[in-house]
Amino acid sequence: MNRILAWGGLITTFLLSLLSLVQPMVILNPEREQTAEILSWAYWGMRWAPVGVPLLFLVALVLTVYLWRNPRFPRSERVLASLLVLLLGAGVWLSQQNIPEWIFQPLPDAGFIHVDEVDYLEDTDMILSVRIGDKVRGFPVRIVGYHHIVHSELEGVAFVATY
Amino acid sequence: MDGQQLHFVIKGVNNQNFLMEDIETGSWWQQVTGEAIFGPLKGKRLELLSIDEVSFALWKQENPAGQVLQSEQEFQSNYFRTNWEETAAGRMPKVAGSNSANSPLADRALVVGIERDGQARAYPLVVLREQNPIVDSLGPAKLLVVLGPDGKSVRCFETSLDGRKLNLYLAADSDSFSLVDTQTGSHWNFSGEAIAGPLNGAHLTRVPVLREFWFDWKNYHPETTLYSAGRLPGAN
Repeated sequence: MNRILAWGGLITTFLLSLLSLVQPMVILNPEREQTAEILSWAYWGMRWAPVGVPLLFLVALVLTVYLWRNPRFPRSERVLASLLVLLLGAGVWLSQQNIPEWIFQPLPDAGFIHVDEVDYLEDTDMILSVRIGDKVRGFPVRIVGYHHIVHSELEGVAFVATY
Repeated sequence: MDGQQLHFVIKGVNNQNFLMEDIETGSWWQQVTGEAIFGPLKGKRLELLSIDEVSFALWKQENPAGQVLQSEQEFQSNYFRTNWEETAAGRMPKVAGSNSANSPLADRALVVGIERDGQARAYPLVVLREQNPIVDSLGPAKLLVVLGPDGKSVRCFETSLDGRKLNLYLAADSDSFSLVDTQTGSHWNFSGEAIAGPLNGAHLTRVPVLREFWFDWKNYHPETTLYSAGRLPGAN
């Protein structure tokens, strides 16, 4: 392998990683219009990134090690390659995150209390009521509207309240 | 789904309606329809449970033994404020690709959406507040869309009972909410139960409604009609 190929590989891995991480964020921006076709790009990008970006990172790491082991290459290039690998490392971490959950944190365990104990709702607050058999559960819109998804089970029926 | 229990996480938005991903298969599901739109389960639909979206005051009254989702302290600063809907339109992102200038309603106007026998219709809340209840028909079904005593909760009932069509109106002289049918003079509460008169104990069939923003209802019901004030029942 020569220097040009190594740098070509490094830049390619960096750009591919950047594309796969940024593309879904751009497509899924709530202020943009989505079409089925463009949404499929986001879907496949987000499916690929958690595996693909770490693989690209490994390739970049191998290339950087190659640059470092060859004393003919300028030190500045070896340092720059290392910086790219560090950035790619951050990209690996980012590829494992679910960014919407940074904004709308999931509710790990949905707890319920008797209606008489509720002191955090006003009479005018809206509530989603689910009745299964004789049992009723209320999901305040003010709460579900933030978490968006609340898993629950009632009378043996597993369901998810969404808003 | 098909015997497998799925667990969901939020994944993004599709024209401002959120997408969920199930962690078991990685499929993406559209929240408002419950349909998987990408992934191994594409085309499958989650079963929609019948829900009631009402004010807490009404809910407490009707469900004295009900259980309510707890408010978790660590998230309390993130939860919506009381009466958040009143200022939602000004705080939420503009609807991309909106043709609101040519639309009969603002994008974030609140409507009550009803789907029945392949037809869909939206009832603007502002119209329902002026004209309560709304007598309408959707397909062969005769419907009554009614705003509750709290001025916020909306329910819809079929007005046919045992093959007989009932004409229901809101009793103006009552201190509490009461619908009266002209055929028998029976009084009905907001749960659709006859509480006095010859039909005492009878129940009207409830029709599911969805309280929604107009743009989102239209997105997923492109053939929807829109109810306008003073409209004759069943007119398009």
